[in-house]
Amino acid sequence: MEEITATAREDEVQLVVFTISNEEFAAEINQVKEIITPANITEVPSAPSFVYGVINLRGKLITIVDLHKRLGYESPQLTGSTKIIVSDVKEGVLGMMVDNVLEVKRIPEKQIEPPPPMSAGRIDSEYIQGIAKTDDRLIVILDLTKVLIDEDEGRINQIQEGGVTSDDENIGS
Amino acid sequence: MSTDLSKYLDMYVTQTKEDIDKLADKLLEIESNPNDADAINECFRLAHTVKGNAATMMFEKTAQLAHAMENLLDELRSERAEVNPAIMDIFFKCVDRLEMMVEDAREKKSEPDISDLLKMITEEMGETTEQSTPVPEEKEEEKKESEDKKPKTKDRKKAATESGKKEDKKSESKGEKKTVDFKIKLTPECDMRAARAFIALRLLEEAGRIKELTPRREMIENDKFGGTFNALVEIEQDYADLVKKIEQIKDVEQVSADILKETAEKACDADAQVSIPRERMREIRSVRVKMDRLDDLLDSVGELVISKIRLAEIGKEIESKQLTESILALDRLASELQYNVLRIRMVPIDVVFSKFPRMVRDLSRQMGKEVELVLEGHEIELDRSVIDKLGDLLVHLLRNSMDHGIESPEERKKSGKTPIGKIRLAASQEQNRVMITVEDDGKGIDILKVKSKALERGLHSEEELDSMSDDELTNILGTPGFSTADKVTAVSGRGVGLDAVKSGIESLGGQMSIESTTGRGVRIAIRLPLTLAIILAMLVRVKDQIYAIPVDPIQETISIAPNDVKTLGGMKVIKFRGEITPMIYLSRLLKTSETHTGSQAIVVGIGQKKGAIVVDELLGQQEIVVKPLDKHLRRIPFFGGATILGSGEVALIVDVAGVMEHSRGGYVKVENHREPQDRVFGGGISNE
Repeated sequence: MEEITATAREDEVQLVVFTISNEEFAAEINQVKEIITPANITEVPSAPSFVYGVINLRGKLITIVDLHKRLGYESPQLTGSTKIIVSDVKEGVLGMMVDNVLEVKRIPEKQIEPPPPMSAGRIDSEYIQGIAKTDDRLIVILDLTKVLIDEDEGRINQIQEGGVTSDDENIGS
Repeated sequence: MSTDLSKYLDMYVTQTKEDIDKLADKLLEIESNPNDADAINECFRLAHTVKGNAATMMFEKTAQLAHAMENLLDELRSERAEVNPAIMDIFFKCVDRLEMMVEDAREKKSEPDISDLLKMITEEMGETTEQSTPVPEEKEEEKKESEDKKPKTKDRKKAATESGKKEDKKSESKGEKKTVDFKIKLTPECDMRAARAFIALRLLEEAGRIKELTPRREMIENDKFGGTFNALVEIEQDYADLVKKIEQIKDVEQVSADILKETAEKACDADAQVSIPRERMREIRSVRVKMDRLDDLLDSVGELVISKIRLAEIGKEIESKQLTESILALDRLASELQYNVLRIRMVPIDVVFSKFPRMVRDLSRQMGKEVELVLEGHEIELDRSVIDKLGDLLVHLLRNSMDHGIESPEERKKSGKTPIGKIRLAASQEQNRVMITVEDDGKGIDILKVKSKALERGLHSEEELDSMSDDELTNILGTPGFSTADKVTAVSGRGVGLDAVKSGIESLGGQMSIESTTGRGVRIAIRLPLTLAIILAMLVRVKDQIYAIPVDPIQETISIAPNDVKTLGGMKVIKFRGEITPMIYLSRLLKTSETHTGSQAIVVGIGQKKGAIVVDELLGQQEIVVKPLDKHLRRIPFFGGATILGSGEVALIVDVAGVMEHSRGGYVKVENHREPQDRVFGGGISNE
């Protein structure tokens, strides 16, 4: 397990570069909490297809997202280099399975281009935060907050929120 | 507010909130019995207390509002006005505003405007009496004055030469130290003696040094004194101004100041007394703790329980007597700790219930209905996390009853009922479950309407509906996506129907069922677990994965031989205690296997439904710490959470109700065994 600290200069972005099906992707380091080696993943039957399973991370339950499936690739084979990138997004802590973590790279902001208006190949453009161009490489920077979030909200959440608002409107008026 | 008063803020907020709550309760009493002179007097007393306390804390508007209420109450007391809905509305509006103001005070916001309410009260009083008593500003002026004159010690020393009423010749000489004996007496009806004494003491301290205080400071600060105290103050300046200032503090009846001739020797032992630490040494009986700290504590205890289990597993392998004993001791301690932590989190359901009389009252006024709310089981305790969510859900149920259940007084009279509708909200405890019933004597659920709606929504086919019993039809109301309200009213509707409440209850690990008798009313029964945090579960193995099944719905475990299994209408069943029980193959249901495998069955019952969940191996019972699943996984109907096993692995917790509902043929009708009266609502074990 490697703890990562972010110390980017203002005009630079620090990226964690990883591979999925031999293609290079990256995430901004401030979206990454830690990187762990997968162990004891419990499969969750009937889960949405992009959920790989759940793990116990120091007493906390973490859902592992199958980033391969999410991005339209085949599900991964677990190898010695497979890693889980743990990310602290708005909804809570989630993990995502990647084939390999290559490096942490500093890239000047000016080398990052905005996402293409149309989807880049198979990947939905709304998942893409930008494209980093460096040393003849093209690295797709994923926006983890979007990649890891399910489009439709859970029913329970809706009800609870709905319940609260209707109360506020009615009581004491 | 001055910073020194702020240390009394918590006390003020707590006490005033309590008083306001009591005031609201008493107002409800007045409303139901307008001739209750005791209740009126009690309200008067409470408003007075609120006024006094607010004034001490310099919350002028709060005090003003309480005072106006007092005046209006006085009209009732002296029978110059009579109790009517309009006047009660004003009172309740005032109470609401007061509540808000206390909240604001806690958050250190400035006081809101109250002129609208004051105007209302004045108008109401103008109507009731010719010689309407104006709302006297009473102490307001004074307080402003004393606030303005907040002693500025340094300036004071210069200005102190002005003569006062108790001059002493010696004191005229500026800068000479003298000891003055201040005797301060508070009025007997003073409510916040400690706070007032504190203000007086602070004034004295700003002027000089308190050498001796009788009774001791902590006695005064803890309100353990008779209302009178003496302070020997070493002072340089003239003290006449000081006396005046102290006299202006609310509830100070008398102040006297005498100069003492003898000084030096006494000062020594007096110093010793003064040097007693200022920190309040009040006896603390309860503490407020933030909920997330309790959550953290529970998490740690959960971890401890997991470690304990792991250690016990190791102990079994090693077989050392000493180790086994230590593990037993640890086990006992951990259980005790767990029990106590869970108990700390328990809150009486009254915190939810207490809001309801008021809500029902307001709603019935709004809807032109008359409703009596009967509350039972205030003392029943539930885990805090359950209580929080339960409150909103019960609000919906009560609204539903009031909006769709209870008829207007005219309608009720026509159908031969009392004009006043009745809603009963009762809580009771049964072992480790809490039962909550919401019952009304309204018109009941219109089953035809339910039918047509279910058809319209495509929830069931016509044939299905025709084959259903009334009870089954009623419970369609709880099917997700169903809501009967044709129009969205201000009260209920808004899409939050019984179906939403039901799934809310289920997300709390509970069950809900609906029973309706046309023309006689609706009864909604809810069963909730006492706590969501730690439960007893049976661990089972299905293929290579371990699952936990809560023991609550488990009736029995049986081994099954291949020829026990029969096929009935394409459904695998087993005969268990004379009943045909459908088998639920967990591996098939979860799609981890295509074949019917498993040699062990767990017979479970939820309400009238029974099933035999088939697994490969039973691993034994164990306490597990329930951890909620991520929201992506919460929609899977088969799991109610997950737990971490001694090995560190994650095991999913099977939601028996969900499994039964979603397994084909999980429903078994046991007509022969069911007596009409013996209905179990909301499921759970039905083999009582």
